[in-house]
Amino acid sequence: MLDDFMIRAGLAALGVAMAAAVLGCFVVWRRMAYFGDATAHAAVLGVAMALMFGWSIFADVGLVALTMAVLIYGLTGRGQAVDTILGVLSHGALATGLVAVTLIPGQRVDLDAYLFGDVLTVTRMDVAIIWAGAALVMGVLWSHWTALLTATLNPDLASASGINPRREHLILTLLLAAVVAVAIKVVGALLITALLIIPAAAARGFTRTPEQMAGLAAVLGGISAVGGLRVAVMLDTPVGPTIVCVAAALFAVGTVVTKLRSVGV
Amino acid sequence: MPVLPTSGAVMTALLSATGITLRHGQNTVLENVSLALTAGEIVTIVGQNGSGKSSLLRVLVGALTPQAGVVTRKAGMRVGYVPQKLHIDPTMPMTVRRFLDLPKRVDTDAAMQALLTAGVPETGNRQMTQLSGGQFQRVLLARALLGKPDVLMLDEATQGLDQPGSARFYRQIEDVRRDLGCAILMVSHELHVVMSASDR
Repeated sequence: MLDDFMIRAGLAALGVAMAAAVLGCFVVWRRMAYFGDATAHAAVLGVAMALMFGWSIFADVGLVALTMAVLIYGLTGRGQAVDTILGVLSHGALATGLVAVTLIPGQRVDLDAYLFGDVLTVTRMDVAIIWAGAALVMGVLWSHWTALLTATLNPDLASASGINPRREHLILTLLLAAVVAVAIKVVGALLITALLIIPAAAARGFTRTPEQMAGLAAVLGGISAVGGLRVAVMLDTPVGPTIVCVAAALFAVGTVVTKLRSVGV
Repeated sequence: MPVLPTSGAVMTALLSATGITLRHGQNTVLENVSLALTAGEIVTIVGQNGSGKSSLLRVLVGALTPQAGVVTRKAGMRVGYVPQKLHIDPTMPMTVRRFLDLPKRVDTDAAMQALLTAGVPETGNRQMTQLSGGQFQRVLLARALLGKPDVLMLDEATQGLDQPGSARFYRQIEDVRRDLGCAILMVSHELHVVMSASDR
């Protein structure tokens, strides 16, 4: 079954999209979208390193994303206004990565594959790594769910209940780096944040509890992944951007339906 | 910030703080503050805005680490904390009932009982963001009560309530002390309302 490249692509996209959608709920609740962008953009630097030294894309992207994420985590702990610093780090890392890739001797690199993803070329091994990463992210979210939720709601409330809010924030930071690493081949560095926030945002209007929102976000993420892949094959468009287009369309439909319901149509 | 009187019964204190000094950058927020709280008493910290009352509470809760001083908690002591304000991001759906399950799931009977005790029995299915200021504070109180606290800490709990509302809220706090036997530590700038309810 895994011999079919379409099946492999579908599985890869599904795994990434569902894990990203659930983690994305926290990104939305904590307003970490820019944080996600910076971590994802750093991935291009990881790609450059992987190509330069011949290491695994997943490992290098994960390593660089992790470094960036921990760096930002350290900065946010000092209570500074961080959006300017985030902007510098985010685009600095992206530009450095783009320059570094072109400096690699003897390689003609198809940069588009890393900026926008190239899910149709994933191997069995890629699918296995993506699902292992996605399962890890889901598992950690599952086991820390209440602590993460309490810390997200209010850090002081978490402290009073014996939950260390900084620790929970660090966990989310590490998970974000993991999602970036497994998503780079599917949607590419520039569109990872879209997979994080769009399904979560689309799910918000239809749900009454955080769990419902995470569940619906995962479903919408899955629909976007599979639907986007089908549409991309039909129209011969790039898969990553098409997946994001389907997610954005779901968000638009959801927003309209929510508005219509609220005025009683 | 004045030094608060230390209770004579330090040995039996549920919670005590000794020589707490807290700085934010250049500002000294708390300087050498000590206090102790024994079971079943109601203590109110009164002071002007910006005098460091909330910071003291946050130190006692464990949310801030002071530069100097020690906070000692009796082993196994449970804290119920009602923060001054709790902003729930509108992107997070959250019913009152689900909120009461944080940080530990509670059964529905207990949840309904806590809402009744706090004076908001009909709110279980509402979204947190749709509550009025007074209802919101009472739901926060209900959540704190569900942890069966030995110490209940309230930070400006009556903010946004009118005077009769505040008075009712403080009477409810007294009832809570009577029913649960927990110590209560409050922060307020409303001396007149507080006086009647506290022991010191």
